[in-house]
Amino acid sequence: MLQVKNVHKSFGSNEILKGVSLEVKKGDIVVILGPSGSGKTTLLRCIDFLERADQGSILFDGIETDMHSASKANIARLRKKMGFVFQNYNLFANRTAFGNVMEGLAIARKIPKAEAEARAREVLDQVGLSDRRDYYPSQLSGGQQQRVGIARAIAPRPDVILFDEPTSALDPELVGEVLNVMKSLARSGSTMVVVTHEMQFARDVATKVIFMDGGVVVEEGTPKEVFSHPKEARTVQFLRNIMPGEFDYSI
Amino acid sequence: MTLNLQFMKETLVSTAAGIPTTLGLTCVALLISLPAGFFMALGKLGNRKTAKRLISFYVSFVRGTPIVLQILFVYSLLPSLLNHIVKNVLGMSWNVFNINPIFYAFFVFSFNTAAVLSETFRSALLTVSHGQMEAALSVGLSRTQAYVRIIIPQALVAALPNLCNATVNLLKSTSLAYMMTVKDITAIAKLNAARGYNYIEAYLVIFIIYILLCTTVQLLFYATESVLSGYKRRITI
Repeated sequence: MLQVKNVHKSFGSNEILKGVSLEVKKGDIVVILGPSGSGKTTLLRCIDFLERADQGSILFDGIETDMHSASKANIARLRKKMGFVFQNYNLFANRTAFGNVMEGLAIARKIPKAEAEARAREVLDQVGLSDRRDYYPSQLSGGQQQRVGIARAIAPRPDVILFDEPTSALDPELVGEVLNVMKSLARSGSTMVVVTHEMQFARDVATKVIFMDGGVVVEEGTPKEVFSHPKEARTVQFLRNIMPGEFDYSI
Repeated sequence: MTLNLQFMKETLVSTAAGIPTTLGLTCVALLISLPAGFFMALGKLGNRKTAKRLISFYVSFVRGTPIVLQILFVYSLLPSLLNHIVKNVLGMSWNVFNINPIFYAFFVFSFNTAAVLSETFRSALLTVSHGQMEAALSVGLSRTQAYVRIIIPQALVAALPNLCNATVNLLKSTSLAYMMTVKDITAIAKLNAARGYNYIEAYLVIFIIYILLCTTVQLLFYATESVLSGYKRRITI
């Protein structure tokens, strides 16, 4: 369904992505792992055109678009097929939880008001925030804000939802509520690409794990393959660092 | 020394006739400089180098010269320049010296306030996190929609205290319009005072008028701010 090919991106002389390719099939839960600075977030941002890739192409539903030279109209068209959940939530501070969800429906996609409102109520219910509908972001906890962020991303029923470290900015005790929402989304058949450091989530939910380092994909496979039988030394080292004691090194 | 109360009463009535002029000057200058300042702020935050330089030059030019000097320049230089252009370049017989001096006042005060407001708006736009723009784009809004619906409403709230300052400063500096023979509050008071040398009384009267006007402006801004910043209120549980 979604395929990105050979993505390159540099910031000044610092080459962050050195030709990354990625394929996502419908219903896939792709988890991207890797040390900080490996380019995971940049890759995700390039896919949603929040950063302009220097090179690369994106294939969505059979239509190929060059990522470097994509026109405004093409970017708008592609963005409407995707949802994006940010590390820092990035909720609209001047809109309530409900208003945040409505923007993408009633304004961006011009869905009739009654229909959009019904959908907004439905997704807020789905993330367990029906009682916080009329609260402004400043009145919500981090976990609640991120759940609104997820509701906002899924409301227009995008083909794929991109998650950029959705739990990294949260207090440890609030991580669970967000992960639970993501798990139930995964179970309901959504297609997701998740950049995260939550290993347990990757193990339990992912259909495909991608390990990135130094701007390239080092290894990819099912969670079992990557976690239990990693082939690359860099993957082994990363997993050891991030899950000390838990990760059994075996050849 | 005693104050001539009778004169003060009369002056209050006659200078009150200048209030519309003072407020008119303030409003027109604001109406012109609000959008001008806003777009200059956007220009300065954008990535067009020439535009950025031009705006910076303009702002530092306005900041670096006293408003009195700007008035003297505009009021003595501009009419002659216009006259030259109309007579010799365009070859028309229209007499520029018939232009109501209030237009020169509009020009100077707008010119001045736009520079102040461009900086006010620039700092206000920077208070809204860039992440919200990205979020707006990611849910499918266009850049213009994101500005109109998300960024500007928040920037406006952040700008209000400085906007209030700029408005009050503008209102007070319109008192310099008398230099351009515009009959505002100050000009009328000076004229009245000169007749019988009742300067103290006349100045006391307009002192009070200005305080009342500026206080009203401030109260209006406070009210607007409390209405518009509703989303910032935290509830205490």
